[in-house]
Amino acid sequence: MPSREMVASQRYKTNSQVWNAVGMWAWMLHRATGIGLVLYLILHATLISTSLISGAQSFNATLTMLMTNPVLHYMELLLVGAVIYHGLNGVRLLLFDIGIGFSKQKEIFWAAMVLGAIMWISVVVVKLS
Amino acid sequence: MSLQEINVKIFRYDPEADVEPRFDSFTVPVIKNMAILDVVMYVQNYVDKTLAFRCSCRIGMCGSCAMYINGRPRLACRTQVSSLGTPDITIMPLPNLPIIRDLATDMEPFFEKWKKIKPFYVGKSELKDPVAIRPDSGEREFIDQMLDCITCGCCYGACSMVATNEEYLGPAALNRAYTLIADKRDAIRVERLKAVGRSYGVWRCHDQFNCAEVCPKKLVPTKSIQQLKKRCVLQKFGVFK
Amino acid sequence: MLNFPRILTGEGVLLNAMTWLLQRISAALLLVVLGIHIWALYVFNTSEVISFSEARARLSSAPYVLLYVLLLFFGLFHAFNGVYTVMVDMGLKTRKTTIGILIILGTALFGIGVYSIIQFIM
Ligand code: SF4
Ligand code: SF4
Ligand code: FES
Repeated sequence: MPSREMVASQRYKTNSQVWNAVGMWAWMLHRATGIGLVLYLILHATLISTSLISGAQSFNATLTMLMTNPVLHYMELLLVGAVIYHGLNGVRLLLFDIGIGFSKQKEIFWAAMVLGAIMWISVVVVKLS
Repeated sequence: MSLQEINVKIFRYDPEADVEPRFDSFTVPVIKNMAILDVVMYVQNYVDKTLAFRCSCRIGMCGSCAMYINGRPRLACRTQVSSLGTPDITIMPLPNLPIIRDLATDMEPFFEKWKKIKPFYVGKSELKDPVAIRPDSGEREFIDQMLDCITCGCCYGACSMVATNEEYLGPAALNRAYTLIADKRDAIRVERLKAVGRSYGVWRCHDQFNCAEVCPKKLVPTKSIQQLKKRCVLQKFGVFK
Repeated sequence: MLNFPRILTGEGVLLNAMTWLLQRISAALLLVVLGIHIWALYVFNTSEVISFSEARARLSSAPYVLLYVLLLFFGLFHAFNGVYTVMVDMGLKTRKTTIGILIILGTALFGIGVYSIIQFIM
């Protein structure tokens, strides 16, 4: 393949996305939340286990420190949002995988988002009250 | 909407002469029912003879005029200026393909991948033509919808999985593979299925629907690819033969 | 160089279909198992901060232990297979090495997860 020609077109690669369609955004958000959740999972498993090395006291101390930290308190809302999004869009993808909903993909996406927003807002309300 | 004039920005690049691509601006008078293809033809005829682009049938049949027009790949001949709803139009070559010059792209990678799935029908030797497929059997219902592909490459240019993984076969080739694999008369279905079941095949699709979004023939390659994934899994369990 | 059986390497035709299927199965399972995990945190958790004794109370029943082992296993599989998929999408060339690293990392995390569960039970 003539490389210079390809290089020029590669530079405009971001064009190949259809930015004004939901499918594209659904996928990108799924990726982003997925990667975020992997990082959280690693952190979560490591923190819990290391705090347990010296028994109940250090576990309680670590969790008190983490759970009373105001910044982390709000970041937990982000975590909840990521789980809700990844889960609900995941359900949408599972529907496609069993052959349902190809002609209604956008409607399914927005329905999932409305449901997700309701879930997330109720968590926010409970947490901040 | 009745426009008098449109402002067109066109991507210009000659790999042999230019170091960098650039954009040229043109003002083009609008005529009735003007398509984007008419716009680039106007520019070539009356303003700048060196503008390169490709077209042939001008009626959306040959699939040679796909370009990246105002944010998505479209067929230039089937895109009405008025349908874009703005007097500012940006025209670029189809993404994910090498640029020959200006708006003309090299379709070779697209057709190399097209070849990989053996895009032709191979009949089972024991079958005598013509094979009867009852119209009410439903067997061909979904295949028929998916046969309309004109190999324009719009989907290929829209798929971000093609953009990030240059080996990915892409929606058009996989869609074609599906129409053959789903055909019960096909003699090399399993062989085809193995080709699309490799890691650069169906598994790179993540149901983004960019392809379905842009296909001028309103195909949904995503669905064909899902059908292929299902058959790949079934084949592993020995259910699909 | 790590030498994995063909089934574990990218082009081993079996791997792709099977990991794809497992990714869906683990996704469906996680919807339930992770749901219970988050729900349980709020139900068992009476004070503002989760305490050791509460966690222990939860893990004293066998179904919860099973739940957490499932959560660990499928969560890790789903996470690491997801990471691998992203990497292949981006045109990863060194598949075998990457799979090796991911398996080692995943197993290690599974190990420390099981360790944590045991700590709560004992
Ligand atoms: S599937 Fe549609 S967009 Fe893709 S090449 Fe065929 S006609 Fe063009
Ligand atoms: S649905 Fe699949 S093939 Fe179509 S654009 Fe998306 S990733 Fe590409
Ligand atoms: S010129 Fe043939 S499809 Fe547009």
